[in-house]
Amino acid sequence: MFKNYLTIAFRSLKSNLGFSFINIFGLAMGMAATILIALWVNNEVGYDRFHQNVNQIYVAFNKSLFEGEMRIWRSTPSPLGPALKQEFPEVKYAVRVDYLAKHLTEYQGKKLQANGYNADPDFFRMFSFPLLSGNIGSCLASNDHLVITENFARKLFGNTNVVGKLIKLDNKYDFMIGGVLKDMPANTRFTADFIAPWAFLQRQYGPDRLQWGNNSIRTYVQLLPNTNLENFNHKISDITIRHSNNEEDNRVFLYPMKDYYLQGVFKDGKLEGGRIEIVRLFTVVACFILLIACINFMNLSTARGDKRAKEVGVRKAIGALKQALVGQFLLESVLIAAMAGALGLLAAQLALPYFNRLIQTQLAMPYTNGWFIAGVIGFILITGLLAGCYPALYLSSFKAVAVLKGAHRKVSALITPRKVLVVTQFTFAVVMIISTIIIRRQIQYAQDRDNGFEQGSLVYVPFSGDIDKNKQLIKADLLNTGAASAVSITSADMIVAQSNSWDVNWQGKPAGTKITFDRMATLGDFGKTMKLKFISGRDIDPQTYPTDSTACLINESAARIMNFKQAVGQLIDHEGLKWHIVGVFKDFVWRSPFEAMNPMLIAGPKMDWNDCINIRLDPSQPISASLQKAEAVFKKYNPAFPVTLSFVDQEYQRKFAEQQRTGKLAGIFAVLTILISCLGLFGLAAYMAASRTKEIGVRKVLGASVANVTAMISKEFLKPILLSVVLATPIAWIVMYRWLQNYSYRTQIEWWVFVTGGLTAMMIALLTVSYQSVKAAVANPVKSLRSE
Amino acid sequence: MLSLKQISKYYNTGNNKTYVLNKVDLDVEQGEFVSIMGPSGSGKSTLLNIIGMLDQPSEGYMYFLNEPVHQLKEKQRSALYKQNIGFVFQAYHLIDELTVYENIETPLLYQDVKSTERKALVADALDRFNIVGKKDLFPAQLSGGQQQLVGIARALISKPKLLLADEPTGNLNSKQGEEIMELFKKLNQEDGVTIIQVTHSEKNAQYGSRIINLLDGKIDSSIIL
Repeated sequence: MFKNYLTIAFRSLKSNLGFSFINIFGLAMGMAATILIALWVNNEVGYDRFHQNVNQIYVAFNKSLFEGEMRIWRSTPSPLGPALKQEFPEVKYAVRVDYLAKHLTEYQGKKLQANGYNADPDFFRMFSFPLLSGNIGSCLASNDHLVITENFARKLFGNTNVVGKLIKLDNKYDFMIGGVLKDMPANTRFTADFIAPWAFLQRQYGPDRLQWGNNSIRTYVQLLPNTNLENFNHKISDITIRHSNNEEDNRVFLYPMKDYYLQGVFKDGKLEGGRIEIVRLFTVVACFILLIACINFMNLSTARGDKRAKEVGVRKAIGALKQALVGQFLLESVLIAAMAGALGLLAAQLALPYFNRLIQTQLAMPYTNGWFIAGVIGFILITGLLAGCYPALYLSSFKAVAVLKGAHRKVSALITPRKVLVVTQFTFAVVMIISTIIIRRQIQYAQDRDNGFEQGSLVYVPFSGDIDKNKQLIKADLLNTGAASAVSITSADMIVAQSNSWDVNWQGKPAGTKITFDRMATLGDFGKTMKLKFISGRDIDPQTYPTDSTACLINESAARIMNFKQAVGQLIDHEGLKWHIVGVFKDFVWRSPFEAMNPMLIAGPKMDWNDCINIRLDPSQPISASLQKAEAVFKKYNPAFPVTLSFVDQEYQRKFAEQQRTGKLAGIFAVLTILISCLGLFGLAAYMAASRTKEIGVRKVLGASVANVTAMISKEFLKPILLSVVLATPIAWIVMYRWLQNYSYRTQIEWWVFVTGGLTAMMIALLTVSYQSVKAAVANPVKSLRSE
Repeated sequence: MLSLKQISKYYNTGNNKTYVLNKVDLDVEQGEFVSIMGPSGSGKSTLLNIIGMLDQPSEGYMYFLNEPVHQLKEKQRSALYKQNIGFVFQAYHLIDELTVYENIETPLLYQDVKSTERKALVADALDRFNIVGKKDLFPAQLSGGQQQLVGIARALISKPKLLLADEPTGNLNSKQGEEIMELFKKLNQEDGVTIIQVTHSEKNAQYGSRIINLLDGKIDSSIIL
């Protein structure tokens, strides 16, 4: 029986090569897209969930009211971890991890830049990062032991058998390799070249200060199994308030590590989602693409129904029950799905490198993984059954008598269920087209935003080695050699909004208000170097004005909040000092270009936070010449370190990466859906043209012109597409409206976007159908009528 | 063997019923060879399809091998049909994608006959109808007479008690037609297969043992030869 079914399936595939190709190819494309998205979703869902103890690991969060808004953030004070461990027996481990920092490593004269975290000794007990060699117990316990990854060991040493070897960090600190980690999986937040002991921070910056008011590191906590999170959170809630003697009012709570990545966005104290939204969105997209490919299969199979009708009739006449026929057709569709699956897998494998580059991951097909194999087989079965169920029921319901008498001739034009399917396909395709246009427009809108400072020919160098010591000499040399037209030394670069504070007070500030200011510090020439637009006052310039040591600048938003009649000359309390405002500048984008501008404070030289040299290259010189000169200056004053000049405009473009990725993915999927849908439409049109040969012949004999006939057939297909456009418009609007809500700086959704999207789909559909309709229309009626 | 009581088949056309068959009573005994004749539209094929359970009457009772067919569920009806009735069509109705061998084998698949037994049965049939040499050909590669031979072989493969034929020679030339009718006669007389055929041809009707004439959905006459 099975063999008989297979035989007939293969033979009927072979005898209709065109249709078979459209069926298999369309399904394969849909399956390839679904496989890629599934790989990505699997990777996202597994992000930092592979740790053995993940169900007991938590992240410490702060929450506090700001002007009536409950804000939740994840940077915590440094003493929090040790205090939790000491005071609460439920805490098994508490681990502090700071930010990824760039360091210069050196082994026997070979120098390499490397990224590393500092972490408490229990890091490797809490998280599952197995060691290749070395001893977990001693790894971070000693002040001068470093744990490096397998990959980095190869880069620096050429091999991984390096435990006990000595290396130098930042030309200054000696470390011994205490362990080599197996390479971390790509889906973890701890990706780094090395992990250094927490004590390394003290070696760099002096003893830990027990500041409960400085929230700048992450705290991870592992609780004993069976600890009730709610009760525990209740107990620790006031720990910061207690330790800071009521100076701080942040409440602390633990949030599960397993939800941290996917669901880590809070708004006004409530969970709002996060990464999970984009994962869900693309899961839905994947399902729809597969559905669209399946719909092609359904449409073509049922359209071709009367070719199979005779077989159904005969089989029924020689004793087949409906179930047997349903089984036969399902087997056929599963067989086709299997072929499409194989082709889809191949296509996905070929597209994987490109896909990885696009979404910046390192996904791979886990061919040897049992789950993967089971998943692929299950996927093929589900696709086959999904695509095959409707045709199977439809075909097997043919009446034997009617078919064998030849009365079965009704499946000619597009009948209703098939129209519904076409409408479904094109609705989704139009939604994808419109969404792509809107996403692109939103990116363009943010890129066109006036970012408040001039990015071109602005470069920066983060401090390393001796730069701090020689900063004034470097500045002078940069100006003297003609490399730069202006130089400003700051606490941070213009790309990463690295610091903020609500410890900002001024006369007339309403009591009890808590407003967060972005902040930076400079030794002067800030406005000149960045080319800020001043609304009132002037730049900080300690050379000309000696009192500028405690001068500060504020942005327009800050001035609006402070509500002074005349901001310049007013005093601001910040970090225990009084700062006088010398200038108000137009807001510049420091955070995401998609966000609203925050109030901002630029403090003068007295702050003495220096970590970055910003250089405005001399516009009258060729850039390469200026860069060469600048590099020479850094070589001279900081010889041990490689010179790393970064262009602000290039770095700024990275702020769009996430959205551009979404835009590109949406674009690719839009093209894919429209392609698959049109493939189906083409097949359907071909079938319809063929089955209406006689009708068209008669019409032409009666005087219809080629244009008449072409229009007649095209119109029949355009109607459902038009309906799709109508249906897609509100759907696209809702989806995109919700997406845009993620951005406070967002474009409007304009009506012409829907018109463009709709017209695009209709044009493509018309082109697809026209080949078949013209072909049918120009056919010689004498021929077609004789064949009847 | 077969008993039809007050069998009617009608279609609703507007407010009227158009009768294709009107209260037909018919009994057929084991071993008979009945020819149904009548002008176009007299209901011959409909009657045959109802007997063959491919179609259902609008009214009336039908007993086949003492089973009340009108009361059976589809599954039981199908089981009764599969084992006892073979059908031969005017247009042969072979499955184009299957070879001669596979076409003949198909009914056995639906009866869950074991593979070795199937092989033996099909080989027997090929032998009996002298088409061994054609077993790997597809229907399109055969002449009309040969196709009908395959159709008959397929109808007989499960050793039915009743063979129904709807103008089995309608698409054949006279020589081929004669051969088929001789074959029917032989099957009836030597193997005891009951046969009911619908035919237009007076000559072919003479091969049988009884001729029933239908007119406007009613039995006009029944002549025993």
